[in-house]
Amino acid sequence: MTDIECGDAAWNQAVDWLMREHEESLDDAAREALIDWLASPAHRKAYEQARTLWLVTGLVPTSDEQSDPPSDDD
Amino acid sequence: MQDAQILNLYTTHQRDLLSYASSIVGDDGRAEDIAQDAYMRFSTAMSDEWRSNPVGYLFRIVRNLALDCRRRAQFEKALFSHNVDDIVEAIPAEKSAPEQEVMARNELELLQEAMDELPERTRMAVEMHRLGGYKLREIAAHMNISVSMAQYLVKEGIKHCQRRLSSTASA
Repeated sequence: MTDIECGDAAWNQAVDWLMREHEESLDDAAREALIDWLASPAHRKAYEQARTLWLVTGLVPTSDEQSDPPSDDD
Repeated sequence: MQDAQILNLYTTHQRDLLSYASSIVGDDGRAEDIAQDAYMRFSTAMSDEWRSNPVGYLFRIVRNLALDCRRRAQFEKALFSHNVDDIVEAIPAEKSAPEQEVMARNELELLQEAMDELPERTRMAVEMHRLGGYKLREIAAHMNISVSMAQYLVKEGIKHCQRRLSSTASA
């Protein structure tokens, strides 16, 4: 079982940060909190990994793009 | 799709793609890099099969690359200003173009497989979030579920993708 990284608390927190950023741009307090969180090398590593995953999941063609034309653009 | 068609499509929209990227990252030089990266990823994804909305897909690639670039730049700046050491270690080394192309192709195939494996509701939530760019409350409204459920589904889906990618990387 290769679930180590997903079970990892740091990875989970990194994804939470990315999801939060997706919802709304972070205010100064939140940004400070994130920078504090990133002070740990383990956290930075988790964040890098999650950020890369975040990017590549956004690059997958949609089912629409593979078959029928979508009704509108995103 | 043939290489010439792919290139033609890209060059037709190049100017708009550049200004779109530039509007997100606020830097023409970075926008150029993003457009080049997008072209590489686009031609990799398009070479195997026809997709019905190639232009929409091309713009989405640019958007995601630009957002990622902006996120990276913000953090590097923030970390430097806070004197966090060993930032360099966190920035991946540049890879050659052929290496990047193979990686991009493998990643895309794996992720497509991983998404196909998701339960219907999870897949819908992940696609709306990551591919459509929708916010959780929009997904919740569309799927008639709570926001916390939408968040749970997206996260479950993302976790599954991570598992699939990391199990291959370590295999």
